[in-house]
Amino acid sequence: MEIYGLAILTGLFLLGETIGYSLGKLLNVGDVGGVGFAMLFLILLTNTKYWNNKVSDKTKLGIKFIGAIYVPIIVAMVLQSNIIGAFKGGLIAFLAGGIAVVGMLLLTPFLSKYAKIKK
Amino acid sequence: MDIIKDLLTKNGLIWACLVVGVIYVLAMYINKYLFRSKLNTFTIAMLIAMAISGIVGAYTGKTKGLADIPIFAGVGILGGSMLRDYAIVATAYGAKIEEIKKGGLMAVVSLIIGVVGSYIIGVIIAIAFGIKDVKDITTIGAGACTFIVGPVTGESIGASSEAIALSVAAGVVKSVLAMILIPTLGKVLKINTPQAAMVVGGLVGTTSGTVAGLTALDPALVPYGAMTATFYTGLGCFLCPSILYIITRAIL
Repeated sequence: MEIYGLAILTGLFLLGETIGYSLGKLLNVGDVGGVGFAMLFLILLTNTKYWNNKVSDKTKLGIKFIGAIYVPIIVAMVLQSNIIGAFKGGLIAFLAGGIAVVGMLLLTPFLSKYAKIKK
Repeated sequence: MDIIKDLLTKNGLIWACLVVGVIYVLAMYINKYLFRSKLNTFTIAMLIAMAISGIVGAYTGKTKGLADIPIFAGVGILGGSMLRDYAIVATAYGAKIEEIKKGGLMAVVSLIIGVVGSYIIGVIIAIAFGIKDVKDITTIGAGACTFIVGPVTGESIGASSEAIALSVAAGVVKSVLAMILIPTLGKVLKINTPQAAMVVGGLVGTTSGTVAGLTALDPALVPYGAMTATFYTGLGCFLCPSILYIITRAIL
């Protein structure tokens, strides 16, 4: 049933967040990659033979549905972003954020080339 | 009129689905007739959303764009961190474990380079603009990581409120630019494999920007980029107020 998929997703999500927040508490910060851990668990689960052979399509549909609606969720996220705040910060904010993102993006091909060699 | 207003406020979340749906349809038609389907519908929807939240933000003077208007508060729930994080986790469905193993080491390396590199760039800009206080300089450096790392760092080391505001602005600029630059530069930068997406997530960090940018570029890459990006803020919140602050203070 679809609700099983939702329940599994929520379970993994909360498990990941628990680890993220526990790690955060240990290091005295907020959340250290809770979502990342949850994603890792979901990937581990859905790559098992059990998942592929035994779990019903309807259960899978529950997770796929949430994965599919993330596009509108991102649009809604942008709808409530603080665009004015980005301009108000003036030149310092624009250069600090701008050069950081451009500089890091330019490094991408070199690092991903290395990732390919590794395999 | 009052009935409609009440209904929309009461059903905020599902009403937000209609709002986003209308924006999406609009984006589709703009793409079809103005750009002959050469652009990505999602990119146009995102630009429309940015324009709306910018205009509304200028009008209300608040920070949450369209969600600051009471009848559109549901947009804040639909696009808020709870559903966003839940949905991002769900995108991991179908990601291949072999791809992650292949890119794992470089993802860690890119995370460290991403946080430290962004921090250094922010620090240099802050110094170039004549900011003297080490705490303020550190906070702006942290803001160049993400708009969460900035204020977290600033508050924990006791920076001025101006520096904290600047750091948030720097992080927001980074996020917005990532949304635009990742899809436009994606081909040139060869962001076309899961491993490259993991590297982008680690280098750029800012989850909102990376996820929105990768969606516009290629939705199949989203899980890989999102996964590394979600570790970025945590790593930044850990490194900036501690090790990086101490090193910066020692140098200056």
